Amino acid sequence: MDDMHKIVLDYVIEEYLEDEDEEITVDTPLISGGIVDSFSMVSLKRFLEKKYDLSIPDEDATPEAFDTVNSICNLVNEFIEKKKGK
Amino acid sequence: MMICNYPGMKVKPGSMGKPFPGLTGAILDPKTYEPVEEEGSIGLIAFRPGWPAMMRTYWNNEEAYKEKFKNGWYITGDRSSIDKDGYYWFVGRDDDVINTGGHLVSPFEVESALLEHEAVAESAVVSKPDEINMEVVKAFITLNKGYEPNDDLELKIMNFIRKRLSPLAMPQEIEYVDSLPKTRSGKIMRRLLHAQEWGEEIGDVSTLEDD
Repeated sequence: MDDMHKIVLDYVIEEYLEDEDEEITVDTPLISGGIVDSFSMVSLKRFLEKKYDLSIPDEDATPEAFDTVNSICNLVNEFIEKKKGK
Repeated sequence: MMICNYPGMKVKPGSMGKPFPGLTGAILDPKTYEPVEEEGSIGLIAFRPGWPAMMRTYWNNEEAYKEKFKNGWYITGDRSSIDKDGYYWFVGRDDDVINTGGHLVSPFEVESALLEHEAVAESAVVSKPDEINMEVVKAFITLNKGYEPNDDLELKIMNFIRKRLSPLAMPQEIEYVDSLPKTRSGKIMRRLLHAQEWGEEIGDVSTLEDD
């Protein structure tokens, strides 16, 4: 697990997980699994944008893209690459 | 004064109290104007006409007066819920309540929760237009001394509300301001902020406090 996966996973555990004993991995469904709801996605997106100095347009911040820590990191990496390319 | 805490009654902090003895009050469904019996659900505060000191008309505006009556109830323009003991809990003015994706959010409740955050001095909460949810919650805040407006604090305050109230009530945007528009008597003029968000005419500002 690289740094980004760990940071995002820790943040989700810290901020969104209600049951402390529940264990989640980078593949646990967050949105479809009911851990993060669509309203809460906004604060998760804000966290990522701040942490990685990005701007993720709303149309890319889909529930599918935010469903697991893995997919979130893919999305963030995609935007980091885009930023580098500019 | 129609709902209050009268002598001999146990006061529940945060509640408005109960209708004064002799008044028949209810919470009505905003669509059907039928009383809502369900404990805790939010509706329109209404009274059966004919209470002592009831006004008989609006001066030169009989039509507007008649508009206040629906299904045999006088509609006060305030919203609240009623708990199991019959106490009324204020939610907001009718036109203040935020409808976000079909869920009703009380700006008053969000403002009160914001004030519990150590950084927040004053708050005003309004709706802003949203493509998906029709309306979402937006907060305007002034900060206490020693706090700097920045993204980190915004995220902290958002998460604070999300945990304290609910994800629905979490402001999707927080705007830091130096001061909030107030009337000369000190009430926050939420209406101005609402108009600003929706690109509407601001309307009458004659009661706005002078700088």
